[in-house]
Amino acid sequence: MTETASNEFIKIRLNGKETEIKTGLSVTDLLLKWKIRAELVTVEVNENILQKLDYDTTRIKAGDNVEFVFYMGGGA
Amino acid sequence: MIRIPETIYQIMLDHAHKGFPNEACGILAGKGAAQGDKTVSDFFPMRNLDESSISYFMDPKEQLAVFKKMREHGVEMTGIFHSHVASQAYPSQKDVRLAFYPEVSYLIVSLSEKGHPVLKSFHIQDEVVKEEEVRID
Repeated sequence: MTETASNEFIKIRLNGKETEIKTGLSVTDLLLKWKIRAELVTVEVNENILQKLDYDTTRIKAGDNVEFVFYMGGGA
Repeated sequence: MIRIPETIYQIMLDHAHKGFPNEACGILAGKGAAQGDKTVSDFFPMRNLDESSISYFMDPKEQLAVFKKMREHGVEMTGIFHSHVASQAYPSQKDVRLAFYPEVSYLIVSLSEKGHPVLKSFHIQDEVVKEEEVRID
């Protein structure tokens, strides 16, 4: 039982902090889980900035470094 | 309140003047964002991808690089800075709509009056704008 339970989660680094997430999640799943609107952020996985089109198909693996930043902009 | 060393304030102003007539932007780092009493120790001048006198948009690649540098230096983002070249130092509707970091200060320097820059700082959360004190030490 313990082995099955531990296999359901993986460790990743999220914005520099070690975090546990469920296995098999896509970037879209992660953003939904964190209640972040995909159109407002830039997401990088292992130093590669992802195209938004790839959010659905990119699965997060154990040990991945995931970074996201919200857009910063505005104006007079 | 946000405290900014005089030397960093001058670098921010220089960056804004160099960017003129376009808006300039940058990220402030330091300590105390979570507590609301912030002290700035670093300023990262950023490129305005819009190259416009009425808007700014930071390069996400530069943003990611700065966030990593801040972590390496053991500091956190305390402020997001930009200039208004022809309007007052107050957040525009667009500034408010694109304010996604409620824990940091949004600093605006107005260059509308030549030779008299005006720096103001605000908290923006859920589209509510509150001015805060800026102390230049």
